[in-house]
Amino acid sequence: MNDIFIIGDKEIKSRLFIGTGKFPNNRLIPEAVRRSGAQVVTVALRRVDISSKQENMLDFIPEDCIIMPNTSGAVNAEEAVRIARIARHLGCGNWVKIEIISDTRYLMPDNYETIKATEILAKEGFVVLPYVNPDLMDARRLRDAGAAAIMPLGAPIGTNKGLKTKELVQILIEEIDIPIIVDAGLGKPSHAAECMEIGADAVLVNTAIAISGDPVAMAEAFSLAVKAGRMAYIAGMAEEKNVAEASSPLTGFLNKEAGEKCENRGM
Amino acid sequence: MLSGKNSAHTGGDVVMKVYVNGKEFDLVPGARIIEVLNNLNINPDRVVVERNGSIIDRKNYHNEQLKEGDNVEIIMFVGGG
Repeated sequence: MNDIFIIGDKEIKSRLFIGTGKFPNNRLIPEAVRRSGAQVVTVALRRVDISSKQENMLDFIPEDCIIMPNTSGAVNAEEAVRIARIARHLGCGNWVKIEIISDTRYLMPDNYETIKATEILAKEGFVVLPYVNPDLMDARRLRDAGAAAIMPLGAPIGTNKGLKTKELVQILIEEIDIPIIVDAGLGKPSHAAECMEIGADAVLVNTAIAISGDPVAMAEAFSLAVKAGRMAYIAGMAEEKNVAEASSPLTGFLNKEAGEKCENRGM
Repeated sequence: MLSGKNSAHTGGDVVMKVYVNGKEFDLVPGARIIEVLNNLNINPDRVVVERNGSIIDRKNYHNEQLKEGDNVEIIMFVGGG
């Protein structure tokens, strides 16, 4: 069965998006991307450090990847729009992840400013993927504003706690007809599988891969989990029940008396 | 042609002060963006340059001349989630 995943007008071949922050060595990034088969890769924008030689992230991202710059550092829509326009000038496409955060403790995204930025950038032809708190009304506003997908957080960035927002994400999956991509807070492949099992279209993972003991292997592990979860969702999982239901028929049991006679004869 | 804030320049030479990524630099008047990038060993194809808040098209790096007090931002992609 053809399970096609489309964002904007592009078919995406992997439902695992990977972030490039916090890797102990940037040389691990192209390996992690290749082993996992990830196609969408996020980056951030910062000032060049003019006092020392700095590695350029473009050197570590395979050429066939879709680069999705985030607007991290922005605390309001105006700053996010500026960052997005700068990112597009780098000539690596028109995708942008809107990330507007002024809360420094939990790094909670600002849904209100994100909606404003989405309206502006969608009109300018960007493929906009907003990172938000999972709120149904805001998701509808984002969809109406032209977002290409919605990216609700699973848990605060870098906490590795998993899909703490499960029920709210399920509501978005149920009610919103553009892709839902769980982003942030996923710490284990089983968390990613859980997202896919409930019907998410993709997940974005950074910290859990980058700071693991073996980022390349972990990237592959996440990729397998995403595939497993998606396959299970498509196959249709069995329902939960409160009482037991036997796996074998309740008739045709072996004759108990015959069994007891065998025991008495020491068999 | 490019010097940090504290380095001396030849007495009598005219210089202009330009801010690059927040740091003050003394430049030869009329210095072009491409010259700033070359002096800093920055590949012009891998960065975006803003001058006083406006993005400069890459094709203008060779002719856009900086002026006294200009604020230049040189921006690149880094790791991020």
